[in-house]
Amino acid sequence: MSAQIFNEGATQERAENARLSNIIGAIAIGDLVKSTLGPKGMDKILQSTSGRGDDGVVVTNDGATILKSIPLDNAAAKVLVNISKVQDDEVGDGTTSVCVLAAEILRQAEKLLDQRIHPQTIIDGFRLATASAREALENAAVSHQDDEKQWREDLLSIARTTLSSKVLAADKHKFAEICVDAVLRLKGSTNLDRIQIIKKTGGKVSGSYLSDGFILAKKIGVNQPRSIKGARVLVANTSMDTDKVKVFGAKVKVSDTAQLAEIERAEREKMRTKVQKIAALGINVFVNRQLIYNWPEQLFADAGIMAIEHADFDGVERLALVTGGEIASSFDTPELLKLGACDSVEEVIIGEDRMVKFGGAAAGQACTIVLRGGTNQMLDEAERSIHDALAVLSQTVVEPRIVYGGGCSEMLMSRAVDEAAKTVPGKKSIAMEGFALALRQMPAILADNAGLDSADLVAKLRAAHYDGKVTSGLDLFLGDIVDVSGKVTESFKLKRQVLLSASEAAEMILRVDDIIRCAPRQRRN
Amino acid sequence: MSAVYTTDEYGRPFIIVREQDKKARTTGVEATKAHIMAAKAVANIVRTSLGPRGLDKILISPDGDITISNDGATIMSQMAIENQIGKLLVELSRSQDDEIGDGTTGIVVLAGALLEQAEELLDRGIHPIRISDGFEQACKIAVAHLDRVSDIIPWSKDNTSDLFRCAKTSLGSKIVNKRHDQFAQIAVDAILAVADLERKDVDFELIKVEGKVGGEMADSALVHGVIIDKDFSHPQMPKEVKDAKIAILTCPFEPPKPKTKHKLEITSVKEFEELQRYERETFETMVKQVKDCGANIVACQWGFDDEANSLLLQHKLPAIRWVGGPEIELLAIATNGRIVPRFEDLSNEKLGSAGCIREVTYGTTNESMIIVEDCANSKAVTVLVRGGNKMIVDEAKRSLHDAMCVVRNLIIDNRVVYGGAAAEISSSIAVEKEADQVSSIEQYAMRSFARALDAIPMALAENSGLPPIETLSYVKSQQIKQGISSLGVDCMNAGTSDMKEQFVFDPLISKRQQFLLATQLVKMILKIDDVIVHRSDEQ
Repeated sequence: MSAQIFNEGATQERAENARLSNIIGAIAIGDLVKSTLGPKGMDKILQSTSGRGDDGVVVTNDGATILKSIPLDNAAAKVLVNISKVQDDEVGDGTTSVCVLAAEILRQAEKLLDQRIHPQTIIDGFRLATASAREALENAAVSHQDDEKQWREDLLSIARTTLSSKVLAADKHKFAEICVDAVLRLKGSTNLDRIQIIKKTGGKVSGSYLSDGFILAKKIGVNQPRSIKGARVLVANTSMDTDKVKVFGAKVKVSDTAQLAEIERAEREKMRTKVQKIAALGINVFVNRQLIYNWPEQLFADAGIMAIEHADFDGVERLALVTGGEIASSFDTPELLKLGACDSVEEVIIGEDRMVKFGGAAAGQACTIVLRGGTNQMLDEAERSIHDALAVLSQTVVEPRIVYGGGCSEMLMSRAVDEAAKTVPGKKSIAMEGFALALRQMPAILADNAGLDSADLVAKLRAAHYDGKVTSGLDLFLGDIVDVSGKVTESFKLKRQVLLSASEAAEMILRVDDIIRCAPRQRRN
Repeated sequence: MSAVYTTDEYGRPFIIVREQDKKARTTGVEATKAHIMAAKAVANIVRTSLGPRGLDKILISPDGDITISNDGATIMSQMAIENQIGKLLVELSRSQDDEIGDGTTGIVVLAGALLEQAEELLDRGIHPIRISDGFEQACKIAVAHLDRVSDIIPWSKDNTSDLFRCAKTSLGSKIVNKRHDQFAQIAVDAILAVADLERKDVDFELIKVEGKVGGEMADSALVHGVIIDKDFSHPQMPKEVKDAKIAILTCPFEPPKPKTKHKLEITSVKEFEELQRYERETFETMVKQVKDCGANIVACQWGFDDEANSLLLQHKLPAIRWVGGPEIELLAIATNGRIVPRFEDLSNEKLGSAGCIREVTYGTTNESMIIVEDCANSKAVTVLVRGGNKMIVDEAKRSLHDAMCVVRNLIIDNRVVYGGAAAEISSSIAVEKEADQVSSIEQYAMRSFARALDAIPMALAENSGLPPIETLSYVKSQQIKQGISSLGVDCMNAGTSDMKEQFVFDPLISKRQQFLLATQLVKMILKIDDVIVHRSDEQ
């Protein structure tokens, strides 16, 4: 007899069942995304149930995007989705790898559990394995930041590695250049908001470019100059519609229309003084975050000032960065205001839209990438790929160490773990061997996805590593083992985060022996 | 079910309980047994979480959110238990959590074991009240015994190694034992930084635990200062301020807003213009007042008007807006500043000071935090917990809280008993011995109490993959033979069962509280003999 202690509808899974459901859930997620791994990985179509026609369809290769879009009901699977999201936020790429590695570790753990090894013992083994894998990775990491030419070559290589598994693979050299240039312009900042990506359908993907100036997707007011040389720019965040009285509770109360007219005139006067104050700063371009009404717009036109309204928060911030000006909201103390400057401001046409281009900016810490492509899905995926590459690059600028890809690092770590396992007495060493095997699965999956004989290749790769050729990796285009140094480069931070996140998640899932699911909340329709 | 009615002197039935059909009722031994059954079911769930080799539970909330935890109180409270007795056990672990902060799993397991023993006694026909009396007596003996076997551990500000070991015992069962030493050290340092050693008191308000996903657990750190999860109000303000003089404001940089209801009517152009001037001047005075008092950074609980923000930038005053209530208090404590409610009240001596205030950005999503370091008053600290996923960060935060509670308890009372269930086993022996001298029926109940105490070492041994009965009998016999009360279950296979050598300590007050609270609850459950459940909410 058992007592009912939970709500109706609540379920509980215990011991073996709980473990099984967790491991199966995690492996299912791993299997789901693993075919997207590597330069020969495939894409997935995601169709949302609510989206109609074209809008709901997303074609992607990005692990985080795929996992985010799937509604899951398995606790362990949700943990994996979470690590992939964290990987995305932290490094920007490797979102698939982290899930696949965690799933592979758990697959090995399942075998160990079948041998009646206590989960905590397995965890102990995995911890030792993670530590020695990490050490091996750190020893293998190199930094070329001092050598400018080599450093740029490394960055390009990292960008190519990231992009090669994405839709942009065909033009990866071009896009690698674009991404590296864009990131180097940030001068060490990791704030990717400063790189604006403008997507326009039409044209070819290879027609995309990094603009030498900054492009703002806004229009210039009517009757105002379309092009200005030697621009002095004021970036502002101020109301240019009706400048309301801000004192709380103020209210206009008049007794006749004459008075009303007077108040109106006063309001207009106020706006005119504001415009005059702004004009008196000696600027010829005025960019405002908020709306500019017709009346002040006309005033600006009269003063020969180019006025751009409704540039949103991001636009204003980027522009301030590019031109070196301050975002101003008060204009009474001109001596304290810092104006921005750039060589030219002009209207340009991209696709069929008019935009404003700020060329030859003074500070230039922000930039614009213009993406072209045949379809919306293509552009969206291209944007995600570019974002991944930019994110990895910007993190690499901060943590300049690099490691080699193509399964090289994994094999390196696997070997280190295997060697360490030999010196550990007890059952922990079995768990460590399992961990090493899970790491070796990564190059195997890469090879499988490329349609190659993975068992043969991985064995060859392993032999090469034991032979002392520690920079050997897979070349998935040749289908052979090659020296990947300088060819397939990856960020050290990325690889480390993949290793640590995956083993932390696997550990967390392994520790669980009970799943209690509360009764789902009743939804009212 | 038998209807509850009685008859009057003419034989006509009348109902005592109204709306009989809508109510469920259980009575007598049947009720008590049903309760015991429920309590056992609950205790069995958390039983496997006990000890350094205990496992975790996944809890899925009604909305599908996931919590993974090893902490008894967390598991119990998130289980959404419907059963009345189950709810009492939830309360039990919560009161242990509120009072002590650790040992929330052990207390539930103990209560479950006591009830299990009570069931056997009930089967023998012993009255529930006699059982609870026996438990009460036994509990007194056990608690007195704990006092006797407890050791005083010496510690001082410079010698914290024993505090550190206690924190380690608490963290041993949690996932953070990956970075065991580091987290234990963080807990000890955090508590010692804020502890008032003279009054033997620790104010937990001064310790803030911030979690941030990303990185790994090893990146977690103790910051001697305050972390505010905000950024500077204007993107172009400097990201770092050295030798900061901070003005802490609880008034917005906005036009004044009188609290009394009022109405301001503009009836002429002149008034309109005057109001404009007033508005502009207000902003300028505000900024001027801040500048004049010598501040070089502003923290404000409220928002800024765009114009004020721009003026602040122009006057080189970096500012943080929308700082939450508790955070602004913490900031004030840490920097020795005063919270100023009006601009007019600002003066130099009310400013807080800190060595360095900087904005730190994490990851690729442009999230940032403001770190205030080298504060004038080192009493406020923040622990920044990092980890690979959200669940792990949450669990690490909970574990850290438990460990800090343990350290706090030791500062209040530095007596310890030995872990690894050594204290339970030795109490069990003591109770058993005393029981033989009791001449009444309570003797049986007292023996059962001793057996219930044995359930803890059994669970520990079971969770660690050791043979439970064998281990228990071995340790017990050794305790009696050698007369050492610090022998316990060697969960980690360290080779010795002497917990003194393994440095596994628990604060005495924590153990004592466990015994007292669990006995109290069991007595309460045993006293219930009638349950009436009103089912009016069923359709």
